[in-house]
Amino acid sequence: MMTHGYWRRALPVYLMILPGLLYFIVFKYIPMFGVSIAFMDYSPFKGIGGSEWIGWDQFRRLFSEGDFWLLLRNTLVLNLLDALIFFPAPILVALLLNEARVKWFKGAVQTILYAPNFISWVVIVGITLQLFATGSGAINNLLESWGYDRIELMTDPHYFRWVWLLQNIWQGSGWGAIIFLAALSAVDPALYEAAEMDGASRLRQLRHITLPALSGAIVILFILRMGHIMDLGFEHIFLLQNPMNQNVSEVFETFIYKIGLNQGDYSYSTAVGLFKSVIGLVMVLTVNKLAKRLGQEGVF
Amino acid sequence: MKKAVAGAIALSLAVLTMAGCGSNGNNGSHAGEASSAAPTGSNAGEASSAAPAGSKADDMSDKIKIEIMAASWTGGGWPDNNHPIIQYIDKKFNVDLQIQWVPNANFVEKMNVVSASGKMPDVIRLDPTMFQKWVGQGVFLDLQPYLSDYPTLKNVATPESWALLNPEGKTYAIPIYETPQNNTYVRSDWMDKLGIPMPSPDEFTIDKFYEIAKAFTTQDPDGDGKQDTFGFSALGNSLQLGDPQLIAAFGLANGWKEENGKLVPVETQAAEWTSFLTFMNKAYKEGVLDKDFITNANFNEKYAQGKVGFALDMHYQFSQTTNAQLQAVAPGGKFVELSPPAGANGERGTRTPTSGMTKVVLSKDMDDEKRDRILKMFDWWVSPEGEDIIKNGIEGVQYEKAADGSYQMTDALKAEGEGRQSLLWNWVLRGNTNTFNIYKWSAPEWAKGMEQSIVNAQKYPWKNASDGYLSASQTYTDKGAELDEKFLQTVLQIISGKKPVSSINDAIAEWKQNGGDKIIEEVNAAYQAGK
Repeated sequence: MMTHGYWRRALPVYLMILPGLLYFIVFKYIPMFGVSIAFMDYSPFKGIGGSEWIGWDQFRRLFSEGDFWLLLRNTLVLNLLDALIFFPAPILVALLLNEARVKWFKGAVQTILYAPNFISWVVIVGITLQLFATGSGAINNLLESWGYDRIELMTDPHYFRWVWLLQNIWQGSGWGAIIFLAALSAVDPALYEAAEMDGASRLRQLRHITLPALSGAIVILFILRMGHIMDLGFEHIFLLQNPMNQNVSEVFETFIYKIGLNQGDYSYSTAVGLFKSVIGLVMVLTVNKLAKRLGQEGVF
Repeated sequence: MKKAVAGAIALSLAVLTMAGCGSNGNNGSHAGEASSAAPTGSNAGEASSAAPAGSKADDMSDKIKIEIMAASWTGGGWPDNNHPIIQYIDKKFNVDLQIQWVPNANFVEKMNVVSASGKMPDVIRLDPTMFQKWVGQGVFLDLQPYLSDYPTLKNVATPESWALLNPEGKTYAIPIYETPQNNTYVRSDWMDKLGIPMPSPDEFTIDKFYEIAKAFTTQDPDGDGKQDTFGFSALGNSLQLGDPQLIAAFGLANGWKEENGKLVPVETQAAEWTSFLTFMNKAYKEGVLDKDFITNANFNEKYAQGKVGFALDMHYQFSQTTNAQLQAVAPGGKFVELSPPAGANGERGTRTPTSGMTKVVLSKDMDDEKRDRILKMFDWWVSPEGEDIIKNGIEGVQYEKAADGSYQMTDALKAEGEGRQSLLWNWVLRGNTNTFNIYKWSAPEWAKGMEQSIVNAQKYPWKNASDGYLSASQTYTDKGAELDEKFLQTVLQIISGKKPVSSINDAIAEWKQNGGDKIIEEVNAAYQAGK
């Protein structure tokens, strides 16, 4: 039973929720109705009300698209590499930093490692091009002067995935480590002291104290990561893309950009985006369930 | 004839219906549109006699806000809409010009976003692809009934240019006059250094081109003791590779060519591609072609760095910018003009744009008063008086008259950069002369060079035979870009030695099978119908 007194106390709190709630309603929920154009032959001049409903045609077109499997494969391969190699990188950085005992050293290294997070992809890719360009890049010039062959790092499709992955790690691992460092700072130092008394080595301490302390954060971040199994971030891939590496670099985001914004095929690009979101949702739910079954706390 | 009339009526009915649908949301202006659009279908003569009533009624007493959207290029648009020239026009026509400059690289994207929002600017400058895409949607104003009231504007283009890309009997845009301006250039200081005489147009064959380019690569023309120069560069982002003059020399079409009364696309010219790609692959292997060409987005930087021997651009660029930049790193460095190289069978060409492919459209959603005001403004814009203001700027602000009667730039314009005053002329709407980059204060000698370079560029026309017909192909609109992207991929792989030259035949077959055959069919149907 909610009494008058309850509301008097609770009302200010509810009012404080209001701006956030409005934000989600106006900017997240209302635009969702726009998804309906995925089922239309949408023309901006007829509007959502006037355009013709065509059911699942856009999705049929997507699945029969010659490039559909290519897009799916590229998206999944890149995401898998990302989840297996990039995802553990910040954890490793956090563990290493945690072991550093000299305070100024730890601080300096941490700052250096997370600084790249503030550099935009345009600049990162630009620098990479300057350094690794086949004909004029500094590194290739050096390689040649030492008698090695030039490496077509930016145009040979074989290198694309690794260039992309390493740039991700370079840019993101320092920043990503912050959250794990925060989790580690919550560990009771008494645990380490006790372990040391018992004669546990550094490695054993790591295995039995540090890692268990991190596991909650790792699992939650991993579940959230799985929700983005179809997302790669448009900008980075788009900047690295050129006609030579398209077979490995064309992913859903770049495809949506090309058909939606460059060709103005709004319905089709919305359908592709919706397909992506549905897969993402399924992945989050599945991994969440899996985590719970393994005895970990899920996201919800 | 009968058929054409029936077609025109059907079409105008269709447009009317669409117009009806489109403007339902826009209250108010609907009635005005219907009355102005109706006469066109029945009789154009009647319409033009009906129109002046509207234009005479406009005594310009109301201030009208006019939004213009146009692409901006190097240097970008003016930072705000308070430029002295805008203020001059605002005052003269009692308008409030709001110009939205969109960097050209993002223009297509911006146009799609703007149209998705359903709110078009009043005036937009569009490239042919975008014009064709939107013209069928009934969103542009048909200017046909009003043009005869604006004779200066009407005379800015030929009737063919006015009609180009439009449905019969309709004029949905003001056509932009265009001329070829790009020529082949070579580093004259390198030629001198290596003792190579300047070839005459007859001597300048594609083999000669290669011979010189190879000398530039291997004989250290910049004298730094390192083999770090190359003959020519290319771009990896379009099928012409930024080197149309080379493509032309191998007999490849500028998009499409006519052969035995049929239109043939460049993507199917197997023999020509084979010899062109053999040439390019050899150039790549021997270092004559820039090894970084695939990731190049533009040439100017490369030219200015002093590592490349041949170049392609307009005289304005070299004489005003590139040569000066080049001399900062290579004293004495200079690019001078050559004819395009001639191929084995004597083919040679400079890419020749078709006047009227680029369009300035007016939005359909405007009242008669605004329409008349805009057309009146543009009528003055392209008149000698308007040209003087819009191209040169305003006396006392952009330039001054010296005691001896000659003109010179003010310090303010010098600081801003010559040409920055003529953005409205070059990027929005201009007249039909070749003097667009020549100003009141330009040195006569230099001005002559400018005009001569355009005359030279016009010597070897290389046109796209499908201009005006390609729009008829729905398959091209849907898949053309995607198909060309795949085709380009193979071209680049062959040039860089990843695939044998013969694999171009697979690319051609794939292009045809995945939609190319249909494009050829549709374009040729339109071509036969339009002949």
